[in-house]
Amino acid sequence: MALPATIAWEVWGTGGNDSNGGGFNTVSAGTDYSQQATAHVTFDGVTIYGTYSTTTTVIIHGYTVAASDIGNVLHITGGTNYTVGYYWITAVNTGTNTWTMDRGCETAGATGMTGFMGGGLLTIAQGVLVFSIAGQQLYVQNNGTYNISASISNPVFSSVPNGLRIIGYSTSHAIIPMGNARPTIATGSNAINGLTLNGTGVYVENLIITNTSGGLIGIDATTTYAQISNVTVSGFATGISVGTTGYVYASEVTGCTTSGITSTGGFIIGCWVHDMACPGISNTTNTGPITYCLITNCTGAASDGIFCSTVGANIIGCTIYGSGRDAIRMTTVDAISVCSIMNNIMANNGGYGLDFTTAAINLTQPTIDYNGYYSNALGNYHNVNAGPHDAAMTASPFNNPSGNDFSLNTASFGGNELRNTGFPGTFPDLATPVGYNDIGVYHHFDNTNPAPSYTLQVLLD
Amino acid sequence: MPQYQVVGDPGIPGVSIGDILQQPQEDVPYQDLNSPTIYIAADFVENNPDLFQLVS
Repeated sequence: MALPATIAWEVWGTGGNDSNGGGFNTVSAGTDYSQQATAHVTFDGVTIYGTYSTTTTVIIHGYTVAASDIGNVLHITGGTNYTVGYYWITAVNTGTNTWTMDRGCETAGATGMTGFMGGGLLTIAQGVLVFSIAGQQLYVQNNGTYNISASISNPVFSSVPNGLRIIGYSTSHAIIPMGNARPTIATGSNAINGLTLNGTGVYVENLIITNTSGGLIGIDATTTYAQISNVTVSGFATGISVGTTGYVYASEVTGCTTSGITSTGGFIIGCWVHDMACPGISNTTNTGPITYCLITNCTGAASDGIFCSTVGANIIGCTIYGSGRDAIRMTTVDAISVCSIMNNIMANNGGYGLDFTTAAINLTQPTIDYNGYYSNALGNYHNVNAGPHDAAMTASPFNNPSGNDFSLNTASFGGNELRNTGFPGTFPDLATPVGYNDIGVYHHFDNTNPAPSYTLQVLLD
Repeated sequence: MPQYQVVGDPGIPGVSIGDILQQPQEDVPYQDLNSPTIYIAADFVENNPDLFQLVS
């Protein structure tokens, strides 16, 4: 037996100790002593120590064992005839004052065991090192800033997919923290990645990762099936780098210098990428989906909201505002044939709204439609025709863009043109019910649910 | 409360084949009714059918 997938590891932060047990088997029905700064039991090898009973059962001296000890991780750090490592307590005997561990930890004659039972770890770097099997979770408490000078990089298991989760929390493992309730990893001005994910299926949730200058990649998530959610990354050259099979959703990237998010076809869903002098999202290699993203104020003469080189992308339901150059820029000749661009708002960009740079195709592409355009400096379209259901506005559709409120206003030829006019409205040969999708990220709340005449015109097309 | 009978050697000193284990209440470890100072993790009991057999 080894430590099971049901072990939850704990990074306590300030006051924690990287020598602590730092873990608990969540299905063991004992008391979790890892969610505290100091160890529940500190074995000094002299006054509190262990001696041999069997290879798996340790006689405890200087501490009275209890049934509630079960499930906690014991970190054995030394002693005569002990094997250093992490073990979990599967049974206790209050009569003989023993703990039985999940596997052998000592041999005949063992004495003077040192180590720690309970208590959270100090650093995330140690936290990722104690992972031992797929499925384990590492909880990181919002308890002081985690300053690092080297990238945090998890180990890879050779025989199984990793399936590890690194989860920030504030007060309870069961509550998803938002905003500054999430723990912060600060890389200062070090030229490093924040997190470097390795192996398959590593999840990162609920963290803030910052750099002040010179940082490389906030999260290098190019490994297979990585998932990033509820994370804010700021100040790196590249905020998040995701691979073909990766996911980034419900996250924020800002203040980067090369690109907000780079992707080779991964899923980018519901992210806010904003306020930096570089492209917001850059996609290459594979046609990936970019959906429900808010991309704002990516300034600079060569900065696009979404930039696709070598392939297109499937861009659905995004709002792209204030880019230095184009809202969406595709530089490959055939990108128009391998993309879908629908339900997006492209407004107030310094170049085009939609720019296919390399060929004057001037097609009306069925999957480039239902988009809203407003005040793009060079025009709404370049080398592609307008979609039949597009909305070209003459008034800003947003309530307060300078205050980051990109919800739809009710202005005529502004936000009103985007309400209930998104795709789909109805399906062929299914005239009812009628869908009322808005164009862009934010959909309006309307409990009276009127359908404007504009929508009826669309449906009759 | 569920009861298990020990049917294999779990490697826990004092626990013998034939012993009855019972969970005193929900979300606490099982207690060996034949050696009542011994407590065993719930998932260890419930997920090792070669060692522990549900009897009630």
